Amino acid sequence: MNFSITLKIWRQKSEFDTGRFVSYNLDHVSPDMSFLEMLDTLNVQLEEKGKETVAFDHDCREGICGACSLYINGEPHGPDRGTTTCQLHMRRFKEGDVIYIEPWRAKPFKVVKDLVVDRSSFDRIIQAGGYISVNTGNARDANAIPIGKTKSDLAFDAAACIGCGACVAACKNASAMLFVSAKVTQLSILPQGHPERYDRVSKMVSVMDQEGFGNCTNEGECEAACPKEIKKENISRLNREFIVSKVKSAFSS
Amino acid sequence: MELNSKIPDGPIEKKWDKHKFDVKLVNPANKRKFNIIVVGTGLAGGSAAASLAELGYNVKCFCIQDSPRRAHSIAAQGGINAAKNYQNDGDSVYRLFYDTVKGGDFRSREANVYRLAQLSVNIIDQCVAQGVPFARDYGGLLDNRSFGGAQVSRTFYARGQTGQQLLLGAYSALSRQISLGNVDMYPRHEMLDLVTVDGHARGIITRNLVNGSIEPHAGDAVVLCTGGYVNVFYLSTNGQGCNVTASWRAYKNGAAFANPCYTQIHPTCLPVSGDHQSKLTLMSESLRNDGRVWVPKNKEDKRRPNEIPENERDYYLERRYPAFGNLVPRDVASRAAKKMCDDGFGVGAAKTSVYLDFANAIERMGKQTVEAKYGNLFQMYDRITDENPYKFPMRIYPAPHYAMGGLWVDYNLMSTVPGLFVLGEANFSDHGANRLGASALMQGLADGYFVIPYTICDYLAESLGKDKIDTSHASFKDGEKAVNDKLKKLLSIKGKRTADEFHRKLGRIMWNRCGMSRHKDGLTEALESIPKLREEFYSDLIISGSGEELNQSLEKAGRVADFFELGELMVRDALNRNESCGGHFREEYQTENNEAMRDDENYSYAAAWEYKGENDAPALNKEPLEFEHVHLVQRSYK
Amino acid sequence: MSKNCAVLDSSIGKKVIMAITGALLFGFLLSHLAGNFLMFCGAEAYNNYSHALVSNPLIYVAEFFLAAVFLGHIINGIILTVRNKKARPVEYAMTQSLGEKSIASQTMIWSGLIVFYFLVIHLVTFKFGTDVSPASADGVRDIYSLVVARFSEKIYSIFYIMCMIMLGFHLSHAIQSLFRTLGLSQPKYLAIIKVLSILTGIGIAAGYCIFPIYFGFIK
Repeated sequence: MNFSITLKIWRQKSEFDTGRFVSYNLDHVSPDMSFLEMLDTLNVQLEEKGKETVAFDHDCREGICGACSLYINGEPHGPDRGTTTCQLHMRRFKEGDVIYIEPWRAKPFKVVKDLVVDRSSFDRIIQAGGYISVNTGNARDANAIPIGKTKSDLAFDAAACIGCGACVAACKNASAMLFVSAKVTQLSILPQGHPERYDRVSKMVSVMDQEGFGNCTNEGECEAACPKEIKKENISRLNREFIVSKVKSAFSS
Repeated sequence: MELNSKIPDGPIEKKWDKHKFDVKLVNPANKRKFNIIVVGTGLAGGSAAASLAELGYNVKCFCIQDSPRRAHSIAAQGGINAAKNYQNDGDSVYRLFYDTVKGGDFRSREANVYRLAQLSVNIIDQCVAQGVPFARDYGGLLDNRSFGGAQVSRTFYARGQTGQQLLLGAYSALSRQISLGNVDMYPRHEMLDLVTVDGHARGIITRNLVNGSIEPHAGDAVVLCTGGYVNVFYLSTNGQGCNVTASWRAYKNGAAFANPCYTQIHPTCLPVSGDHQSKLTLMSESLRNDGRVWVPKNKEDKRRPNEIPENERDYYLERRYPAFGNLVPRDVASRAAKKMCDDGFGVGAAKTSVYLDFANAIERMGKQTVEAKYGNLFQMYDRITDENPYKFPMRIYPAPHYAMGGLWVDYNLMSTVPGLFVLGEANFSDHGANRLGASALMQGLADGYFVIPYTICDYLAESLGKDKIDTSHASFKDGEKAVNDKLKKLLSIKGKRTADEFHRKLGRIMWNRCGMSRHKDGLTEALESIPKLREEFYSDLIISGSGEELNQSLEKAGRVADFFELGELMVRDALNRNESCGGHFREEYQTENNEAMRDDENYSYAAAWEYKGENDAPALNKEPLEFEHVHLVQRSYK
Repeated sequence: MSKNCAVLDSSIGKKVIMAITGALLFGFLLSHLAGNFLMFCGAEAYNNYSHALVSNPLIYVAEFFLAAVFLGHIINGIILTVRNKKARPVEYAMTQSLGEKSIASQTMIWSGLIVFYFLVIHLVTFKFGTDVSPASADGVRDIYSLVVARFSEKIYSIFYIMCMIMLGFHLSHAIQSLFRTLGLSQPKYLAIIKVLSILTGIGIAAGYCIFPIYFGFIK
């Protein structure tokens, strides 16, 4: 059964514009549509009327690239848990619903246009140390380092992060610690990451701070919003790694 | 046009080693003097940019996404092949080579495929060293599974997110080089033209997608890693942003485009649900390891799947291919599904899908094991279709997935434009007419990590000491002007229909006429209807907004414009190839059992199309394929 | 030095300061509460205990240390709150709570400031307050009578009780937060830590409230 909805969408020309909500009515919404397909439909209607389309980031539309964002009715990626916006379907909504759509809001995530934000701060955090320094061709045989299944599963759980930024969007302090902790956890659990372990956490946290993200106050909103269900215990690990790193460096020459 | 594949002499297992020794080297001090442009940051681009920067070259790297981590390689699910033979089940470099050539229906270049099989083992080592969390067994060693079209377990995987983990590995290597200052990264930049000087690739023109500025970038070589083009079908498993534009502009600047009609239709995708649909979702082929494909024996059977008794089900893959059963290669599985639906046996409201049933697997292994293996895929299916696959069989239908065709490259991965290298899905070289499962990741990473760092030297060494060209050169001004003109042209049409609408229409033509099966009549018809639709596009297109800002409509329109031209070339290529092979199935050329019928005598070549100008038909150049090691046979998976 | 300053100024460094000063303050709360219970042993015991405390020369060191910890906790908390606010310059039009956001967790700065305000009043009232009966010959203040006198004012008792509830609130989030911040919360103990945290908050608040209730309303 198709239905009608009202959309309140944040429109902002550019980083320098102040932005405002604009209201749109949309009819004939099919419950089988994905949320983004619903926005596609709106955009076609806008474009046919010669009006500017709503800009939003998206690419794979299967929940893995991390491009889509959208703060839907007060929740990053909308009402379904463990789901990205692109995998959210309109059957979750009903006739007459009013849906607020906002961009991720955080100081480091500047609005580029409408619902598109600049998440390059995440790239800079990874560039600060979210890697293992191994040049191409320097590797040993893959089975030379056995890694127990429990450990490798734990590393995988953290590595599943898609870098979408929902954690920042959800946190009342716009903290990026879940994102940072996921990478730190992955590389600190795996033996390959050990040589740079403490240097890495120190550098990544430092860049995270410079970018202007807020601080964790242990309220778990990030975990609840994460489409890949990254656990907040990673933040605890991040703290531990950071403390050990600083204590070690204080006592080393 | 001369097609020199530059395949080294000597026995196949020595070719790559010999070649590595024969290529000219660039000494470390000189590497610093070279600027290399890498376009695309998927598995091929990310790995190439990182590896070249590690060697000391100055790399400029571009991607259209907001971050290099979002390239569509990230969506690959199933796994990556490597001839490690960790499972002791008889795998070897030669077997992987053999399987790939055979899987590609004998339309790939032997020497390239052999090299790919050799390098496969290094890839796994490299990725593990980067911290890619591949699946492991309880002893801590790497786990493998078997994958579509292979009878050995050689596929390494990281749950259903192998592509993601490998790409994040490459992205981390790239990030490291960015932080070291060896790579200048340009996200949200789209390459809109290739700049050539005296026939050599010397740079690109990009559009900054945030503010619309058109920027020239000069380099000593250009490496295209811009992926495949199956979004020409509108609905595909590709990301929304995947496009042919970079390759296409290179083609128009002299790079030959090879085998455009070789497109892969993946058998396990979700069926289309309505007109609003923007993409098709793929579910890993690994599902076929435990799921059984069937349709009701009776066309009119209206019962729910669970109510249909065993003896009234047709497990048609197991029936037709007893040896491989549900694990036949993708092209075979896809075509079989299409045939069942065309013959009226399809299921679902529109009768355009077949069942993929896990009831047996759940009975055999228990729900928990099935959940551990495929949980995320089942969840994805449930989320999209609102049906519980633990209770009812999934419904699947094939969807466009991968392009085996692409820019023609020689053994060095250099195109027909000197200095223009093409890696990964964007080139044509390794998969022939059909790609085997878990081979795309292997090829992308082999090209980027282990091939281009050696072969690019051979080209660069020759240009040492020659004049440097910068963006003040007239060719860059011309390129900028051409790009600006093209954008202005699109913006000034001011018609009534959106680029999306034209794309959907083009996609329908391509899918019906040049999709899973093709016929001379349909292709001939398409050759008329595509230009007609293109004319409408250039007279009735509407784009809102301007060129000086983030404008997703404008981006889309530019890409659709190129898809029109590519679509026509695909049809032309399909029409030229009077045989059936791999992903290219011509209805006129099939065996009595409806299997693809090759014509090795006349079509054992790669068709490299050469651009001849706006109003002239492209010229066909043939690179004969010689098979010294693999015996040409009709593929059989029985 | 600047390197160590940077550590203390980093996000996690600041969290660690909050956690450690918080833990010390919690220790102070416990010992203070234990001392309070001497009220039930009679005026003499209580007055002697308090005299022993203030007449020990080490008290100045302890008080200085305690003041530093208090100030560290408060100033650091204010800086963190301001920074966190700055991290989201434009607020959402609509937000929903998805995780473990609680009234306590969202109002830490306010419950903290109220407790601080209470502390000031508390010091003015008792430590620097005017005794209701004169000190004994050897200088032992009759703190006991002062406390009884204050608590017999119902308004004061209610104010005291309200502040202690705020303190309990503050602690219910603070203690679990402390474990996470210091990286001590293993997932398997997380649930227990959460429950303990809330119980401790209730326990401390209840412990301190016994006195105004007893002396203000019962006795």
